[in-house]
This record gives sequence, C-alpha cells and structure tokens, in this order.
Amino acid sequence: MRNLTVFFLINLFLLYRSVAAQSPQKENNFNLVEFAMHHIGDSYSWDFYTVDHKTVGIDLPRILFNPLNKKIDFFWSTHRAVEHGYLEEHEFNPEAIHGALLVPQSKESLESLADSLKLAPDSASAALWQVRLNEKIKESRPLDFSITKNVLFLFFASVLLLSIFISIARRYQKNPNTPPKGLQSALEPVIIFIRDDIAKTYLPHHYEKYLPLLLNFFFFIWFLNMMGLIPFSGNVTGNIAVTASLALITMVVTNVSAKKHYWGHILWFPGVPVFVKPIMFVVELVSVFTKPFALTIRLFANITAGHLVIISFISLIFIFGKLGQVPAAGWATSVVSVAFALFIDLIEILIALLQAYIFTTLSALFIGQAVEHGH
Amino acid sequence: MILLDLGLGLGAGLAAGLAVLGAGIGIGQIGGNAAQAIARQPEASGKINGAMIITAAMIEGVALFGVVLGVIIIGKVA
Repeated sequence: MRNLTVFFLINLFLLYRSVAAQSPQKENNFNLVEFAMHHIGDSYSWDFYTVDHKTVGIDLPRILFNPLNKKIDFFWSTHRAVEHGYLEEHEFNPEAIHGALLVPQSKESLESLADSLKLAPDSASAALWQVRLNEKIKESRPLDFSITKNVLFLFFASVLLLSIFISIARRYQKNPNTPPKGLQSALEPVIIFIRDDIAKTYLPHHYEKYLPLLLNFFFFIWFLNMMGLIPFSGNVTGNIAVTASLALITMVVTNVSAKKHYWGHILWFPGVPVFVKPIMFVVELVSVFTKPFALTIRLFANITAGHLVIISFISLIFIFGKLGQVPAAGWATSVVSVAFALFIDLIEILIALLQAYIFTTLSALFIGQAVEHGH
Repeated sequence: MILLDLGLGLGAGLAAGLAVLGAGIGIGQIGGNAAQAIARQPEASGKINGAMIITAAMIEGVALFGVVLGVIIIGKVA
C-alpha cells in the first residue's frame, strides 16, 4: 500500500511537471483540449517533457510505403524522413497532425498549388484552389506503417506477456504436481477464475477450445490498461483502432464457429408468426454488427474517459492559476485537484481490471450464444 | 451560423447528458436490486454479481453510444 502511494505521488508529480513545462508555449492561455488530446493520442515520437520549447523524447522509426514508386522507405525518425525529401503535411494543411508526411515527388506541384491558393484574387477561386490542394494532399499521402508510440507499447506488452506466460507454462509442464511459485502463484487464481467463472459458465461444452482466446483477451487488455496508467506510457487501449481490432476478432470467431441454430435464429427466427420473420431477420442481422461495435466503444470510451478526467483535474490547477494571474489560486486548487486526481487514479486501477473482465465475459457470451446448444 | 453552432452544441450536450441520465437510472436499479437479492440470498452472491456486472455493461454500452454521438457532433462545431 505504501509503495502504491509513493508510486502515485510520483505519477502526479510527473503529470504536474509536464503540464508546467508545456504551458509557457501558449502565453497565458492554457488550452485544455489541445493538451488533453496530446496526452491521450498517438504520436510519432515518445516525448517525456518540454523545457524552454524543447521537447525531450525519443524519435520513433518511420516505415512509409511510397505509392508513386511502389517502394517501402524506412527512416529512424521523422526528421530523417524530411531530410530525404519527405514533406511535412502541416506546411500545406494547418489541420494535419504533427509528424504527418507526404511523398517527396509531388513537391513542385504541391508548392505551386499552395502559391496559387495564396495569390487567388477572390474567395471563389481560392475555394477552387483549396479543393485542388486538398485532393493533391490526399493522393500524395504515403501508406503509413510507422512504429508509433502505441505500436511501441503494444510490443512492450507483447514481450511482457510472452515472457511471463511462457515461463509459467514451462513450470506447469516440468513439475505439474508441485505448488505454484512466485509469479505463477500470483496469476494462477486469475487464470482459474477465467476458466471457471467465464469460460465454463458461458461455454460449458466447448470451454477448452476457446479458453486460450479468452485468456489472451483478458491479460492483453488488463496489462495494456495498467500500462496506460503509468506516466509517459502509451494509451493503447484508449485507441479506437486497437479496441476495434480486438472486437473484430470476437466477431470473426463468433461467426466462423457458429453452429446451425445461430444462423437459424438470424435467417428464419423460430417461434414467431411468418410476417414477423423478415423484421427479425433485419434486427438479428444488425445485432451481428452492433455487438462488436459496442465492445469497441465500451473499452475505448471507458479508458479515454478515465484519462481525460485525471488530466482535467490536474489541468484545473493551471486554469485557476492563469485566471486573473494569481498564482495563489493555482496553489490553493492544487490541494483539491491532486486529491481528486489520486482518487480517480485509484478507481482507474479497478476499471482497468473490470473492463478486461467485461470484454472477456461478453466475448465468451457472444461466442457461447453461437456455439452452445439450447437457447 | 452561430445559431447552428449553438444548436449543435446544445444537441451534443443533450445527447451525452440524457444518455448518461438513462444509464444512471438503469445501473442504479440493477445495483439496488442486486444488493437486495444478495441480502435475501447471500449464498447466490457470486452469480448475482456476475449477472449485475454484465447487465450494467450492456446499459453502459448504450449510454456510451450517446456520449460518442455527442463527441461527433462537437467535432462538427469546433
């Protein structure tokens, strides 16, 4: 408990530091939305903090597929890619995210289009040039396979999960009838819980086949949720692409392994009058897609909301401090803000576990509905 | 244009707020009834807890649709 408290105090201190370092960039105008979005979003570099307009961080490699010459380019950083002729998109499009790149060959035409836009005599022709420029930007975007911050943390989580679970599995294989040791004894109750309370409850006849998938879902989501709470780390499960991919796996497994009665319920709903059957077909067909969509949104929104609440509480200090230029107001708010942020942080630990449990349970439920007989 | 932004902003707030209001009522009912059920039959608390969490998650999913809709509308205002 004491270690936990120290950990969270450090956590809050680091959050505080990054807020304090970034705020001078926007003179006396603290932009909460921009700041919060930067913290929960993905990026092309792993930033730690900013001092005097200099950001300290690690540049992450860029892997770009150039559609013009059909080649894959690899660079160790965004900076190197720009040195090799790639263009930064925000030169032409102020709304582009930081680090977005455009393929090098189209430079002249892009610049001439941008110049024509600047020299446009009236608003109608300016709008026309703007449309052409947007089209050109769209077609000169490379396919981006870069190792972003989220991808990096996916790799971290994979390595962590593999090293922990391979070592545990080896021990079970070597001495199956000895009491568990170390990490094994910490994780054995969790594994047993998923087997007995989730897999056996919703998939009583087929649990052995789907247990590895459910264990994967649970530990992957749990570990990434917990990693997201560590300062400076990536917010992976708060990225809708990640949660959508996970839900897509559930959807594919559900529909591929479905038995006859599942399709029977969708195509020709039993036990209702014939004129209701076409209506039920539409309803059931929609539900095939809403189930994974709900899984996607639930995990994404829960994690994002938690991060936003913590950031908002910490940001309150600076909003009050900047109001009327009274630093004392900031100091006074900090006591309440830090206490509330700590409270939410502790709730987030519970939510990290709960959301992993809910995702796993609902996946088991959906697969069970398709696979098990009876209902 | 300002009127449109005002309408969209109000709509976004209402979408998120009303969805959360409904979910609050729903999850409150589930929690209350689950507590009563556990008080009456403490030996079934494990099963009741499982059912409670799953039902609450379903309701929460619907509420989050409303919130996401609100965020999408706000994206049109900003």
